Amino acid sequence: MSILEVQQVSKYFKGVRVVDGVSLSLEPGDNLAIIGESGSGKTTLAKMIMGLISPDQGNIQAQRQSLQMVFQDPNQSLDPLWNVRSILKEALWTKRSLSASQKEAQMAHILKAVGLAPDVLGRFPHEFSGGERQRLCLARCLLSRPKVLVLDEAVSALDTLVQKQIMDLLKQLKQDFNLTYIFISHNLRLVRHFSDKIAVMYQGKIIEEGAVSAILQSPSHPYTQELVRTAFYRHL
Amino acid sequence: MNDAVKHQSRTQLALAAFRRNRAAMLCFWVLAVLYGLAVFADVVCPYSYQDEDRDFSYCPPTAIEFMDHGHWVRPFVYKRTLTFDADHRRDYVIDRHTKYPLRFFHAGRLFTVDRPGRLYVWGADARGRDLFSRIWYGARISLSIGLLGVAISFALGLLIGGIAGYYGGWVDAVLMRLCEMFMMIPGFYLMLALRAAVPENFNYVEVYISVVVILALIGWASLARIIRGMALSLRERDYVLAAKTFGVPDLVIIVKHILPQTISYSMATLMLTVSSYILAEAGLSVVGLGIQDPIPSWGNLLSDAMSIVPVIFAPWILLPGLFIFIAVMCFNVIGDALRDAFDPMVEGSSIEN
Repeated sequence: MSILEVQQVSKYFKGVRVVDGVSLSLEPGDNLAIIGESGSGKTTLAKMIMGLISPDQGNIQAQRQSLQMVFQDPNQSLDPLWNVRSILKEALWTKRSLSASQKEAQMAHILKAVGLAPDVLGRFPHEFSGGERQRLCLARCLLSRPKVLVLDEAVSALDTLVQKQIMDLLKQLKQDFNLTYIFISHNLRLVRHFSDKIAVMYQGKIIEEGAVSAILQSPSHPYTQELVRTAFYRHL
Repeated sequence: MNDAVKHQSRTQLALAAFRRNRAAMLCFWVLAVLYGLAVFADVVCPYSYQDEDRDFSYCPPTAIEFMDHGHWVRPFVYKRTLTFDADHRRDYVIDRHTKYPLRFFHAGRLFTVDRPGRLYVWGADARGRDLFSRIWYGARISLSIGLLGVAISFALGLLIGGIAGYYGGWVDAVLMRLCEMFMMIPGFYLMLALRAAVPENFNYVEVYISVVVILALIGWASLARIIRGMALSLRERDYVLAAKTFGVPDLVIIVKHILPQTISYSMATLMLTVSSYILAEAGLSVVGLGIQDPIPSWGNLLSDAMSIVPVIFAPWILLPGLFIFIAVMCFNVIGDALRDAFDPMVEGSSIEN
């Protein structure tokens, strides 16, 4: 039983076909990487999956409440005028039945899960580092109890070391919260030890899809071959 | 983590920056004094705004005497009598034999002089009314009309601009064409036209409200246009998208995510608009379309100074103009200071990318 079904989805911006007949299927517990260069339509696809923009053709079957998204730039994904408590509470907007103390308890629990101290609640986004902000974004997503997390270049804006920490955290959270990931990235090396499956996007199309090992060992499309060669060519 | 660190929002940081701006703080306190005097006009002023005495038309400012024959005494004023000089001009002769003592905390007023004595702190107008009193009663109207007008036009401008920018598309198109209709017409003529549409038999409260509404209707459009432009870019921010994914309603997103981001611009504009509304009210009143005599406003007080003859013989009737100038200047300085304080580029915080 698939948790997300994307069928022949296309999107045009001013006559340009940004996403071109993309189909995807996600089983619970999957960890799918979508790889592609900037402009290949990855973020547009992610936003369509999230229901933030509607596709021009095709359809997407998913439970909207079970999807959450982590954005690329941690500086832009937290409202600079809000403190952490209000930022996190926003994720519980639709959970009207929860009492204030239940909300506080959930927030404390999630903050611990993403490795942040409970005393950050009164602080503001500008007081955090990029990595900490991305942890906050994760905490906010997890509060709404999603089944699928769409991670749109979620670590691309971070330093290499911090990237590693967040990737480790993501692996841990996947286990702890039974999550399914769509990990969108342009970095093949990053997903090698992270994802199970890879879909390669090129000019709005998914040109190749399969298990990580299969794609890395025997890429069939010329673009994927070029991508694998540059990513793992050790004598640059 | 240091527990002693107080976590400040950007608004708190900006207000702290504002407080360090001495010129702005001075203006803030000047305005506070002006508003305080307006609020407590009943107490501060020696007379009510309509207390007239035609025998003292254009009587010059009265000196308050503290010494009598070299001794400190209770403050008093000398009697004045109206005479005419050889050119038939008014001349108020001081009669040093008749004194009227100042009465403090009498009849609910801080200081006043019993009749037949008259105390004109800043001189009298044509009908012998105390200009000092009329200025502070007038301040009630002039200083509040701007704030009220701004409150309405900002509520309109922010909401309409926010909605237009956030939704875009045909909503945006309809609302912006509406704005342009208001912006096309030159402000002062629109004001006159709207005022002409108001029935003439209105009492002063109704006139006051209609002037407020007229001012508000003029101001909202330009603000809405600019807020719309900002909302257009702010709606693409990731935290706005995130809020959508959490199921937060659009109106809540507009009011709590989008509009607060426009604060640096809107705070500054708010102050500048208050001052332009004070001027607009003065403009309306000077041409006789604003608040009507005997209710004073700085604008209609100044309309007494429209002809040159009284200005030559009674220059103090220009004083309301000075207060319009002071109030407008203070609002402008505060507006500029707020813009600087909220601008992250000026105060070295690295929030805006």
